[in-house]
Amino acid sequence: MAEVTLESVRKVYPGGVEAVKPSSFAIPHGELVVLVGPSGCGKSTLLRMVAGLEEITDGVLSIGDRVVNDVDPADRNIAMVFQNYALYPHMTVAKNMGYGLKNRGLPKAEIEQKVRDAAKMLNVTEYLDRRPSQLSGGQRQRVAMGRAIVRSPELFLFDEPLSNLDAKLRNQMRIEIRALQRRLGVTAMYVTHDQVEAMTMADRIIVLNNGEIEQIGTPSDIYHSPASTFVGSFMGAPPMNLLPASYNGNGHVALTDEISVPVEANTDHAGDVQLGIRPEEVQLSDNGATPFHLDLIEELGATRLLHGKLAGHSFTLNVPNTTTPESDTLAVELPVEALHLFHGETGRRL
Amino acid sequence: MADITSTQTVAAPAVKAPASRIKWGVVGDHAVLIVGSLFMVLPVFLTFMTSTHDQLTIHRDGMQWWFGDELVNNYRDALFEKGGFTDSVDGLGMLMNSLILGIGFAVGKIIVGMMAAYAIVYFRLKFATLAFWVIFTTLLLPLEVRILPSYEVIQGMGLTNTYTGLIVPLIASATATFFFRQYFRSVPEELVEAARIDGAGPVKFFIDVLVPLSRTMIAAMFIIMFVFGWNQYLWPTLITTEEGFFTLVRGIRQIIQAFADGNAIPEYGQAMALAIIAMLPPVLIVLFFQSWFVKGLTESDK
Repeated sequence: MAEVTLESVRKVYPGGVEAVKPSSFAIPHGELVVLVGPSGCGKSTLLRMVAGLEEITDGVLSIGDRVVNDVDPADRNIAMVFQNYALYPHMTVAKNMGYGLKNRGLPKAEIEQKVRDAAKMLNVTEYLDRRPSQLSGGQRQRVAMGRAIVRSPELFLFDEPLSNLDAKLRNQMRIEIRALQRRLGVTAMYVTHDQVEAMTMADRIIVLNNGEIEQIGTPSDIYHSPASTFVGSFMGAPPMNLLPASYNGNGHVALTDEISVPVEANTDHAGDVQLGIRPEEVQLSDNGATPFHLDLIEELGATRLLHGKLAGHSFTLNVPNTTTPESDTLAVELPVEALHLFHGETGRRL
Repeated sequence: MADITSTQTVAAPAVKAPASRIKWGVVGDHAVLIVGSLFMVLPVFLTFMTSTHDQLTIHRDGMQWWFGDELVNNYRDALFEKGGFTDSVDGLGMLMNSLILGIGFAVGKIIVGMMAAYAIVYFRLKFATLAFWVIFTTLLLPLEVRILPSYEVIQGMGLTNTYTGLIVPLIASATATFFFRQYFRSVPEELVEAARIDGAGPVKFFIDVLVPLSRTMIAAMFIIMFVFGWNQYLWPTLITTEEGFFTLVRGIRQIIQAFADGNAIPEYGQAMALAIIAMLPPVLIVLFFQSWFVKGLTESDK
């Protein structure tokens, strides 16, 4: 029904700050796309441009077959869920949910029916007569979702909707939002700075940094072949280990004068590189070739994090909880298929 | 469990409560409060007591400390006896005038202040900040400073001896604009955005969201402005020469003066009664809106 397309969409604030560099991507109908990145990367600005709350400096934005650059937010057929819920404090839950429909001039009975249906779907029927201040955070979040659903929009926009909730509720709501979006089959854009949320919820992830798209891909793409050192270190917890090294095109990367490891790389770049490997893909092994100096163990329950130094740089291993290192000098193996090679200056994948 | 309770019963007599010790701090606090209350209440009490005596007693013996027998007469005369030079105005009429002035003044100020603040806070006007500071500096120019030009204007428009002339020049209010501006700025931005997505235009947002959100603020403003308008003296004295437009506050003086000029004993009892009547509406307004204040404080709406 509604495909969202951005063509070289760009945002420059008065004063000359370029918050979003020209970005293009398309979201197929029914897909949930997560925009993820650190604070100030432009993800919220991008979402707000799609919502129509922020003017688009350049480029073309279309929802469905319609170019909506200059269309009022109310007429874009979208619904947005805000981080702080943005419920009208003086209205009851039912009025909150029905306010948009009332403004559209729908008959009262129809509004009531739609509100009741949405409330039932979200299990907030018993709170319909309460005020937002009488609800808990999770319930308010549901009401905000309900307000979005009743409008039967073509596009859902979520602006960090879970960051005001506690960890347990966040996990639960994450699943609920995902299930609801699937069931309704509505296209959705979801902004978060939490990479776990991004990985678990997204059909596709768009990683942003400094107003620029670093990578677009499925969670598995992003995890297994990050397009840059930024993506590698931002996505995944603990972050990917990155070691400065040099590469001379002979199939081996030299970490120091003594330590070098074989890599698979189809590049003729020679010189400074960054070698990346995920903490969970490093293996401790007695006949491993690379020495690792252990400083600290972090217990996570199911696994343990071993922090230390490898070739003079900080390095982390994620090992099963059955592994108990006995000395602080260990040998590790860096499997060739788990190694990522990045350009030394640009940080792009080689 | 068992031994815990037993130790407690044993230990209990040891911590003997300091039953009869006087806490001087508390006594001091109360003394200050009592003196303060007396200071506030005594003049009102004296006025009320005096208002129940006839003018001869008051003229001879001064303020009275206990009830006299003229309560009903004084209040009836204060309210219903026509007075003044033309015998055309009674207490009730003046009460009405004062109410019209107080309410018109408060409501007008709130409406103008809210709308000005709305424009300044929510619309990206080019000179919004400048406009705000211009409005703000009018705080330096109270009515007393601009009273001659204001009078000129009102007289030129032929609005002397009208309610419009009485109320309108006093309405423009930096105070209300300022308070509403501060309040609107504390309303979360997302609310505006949610309303925009919900299809509420500027007018709808103002009426459906902002006004109901500000109701405690409006109540507070109403109290302050009503009392302020009620107690206006100088402007009504200037602008109204017809006794039919006299307000209570200036009417009190008029009664005493009118009779003093006629070489009779001023009707002090009646004047005191009128003073008490003049005090009542502001007190009632405060009492009525107080519940709104409490509601606004306990309901953490925003």
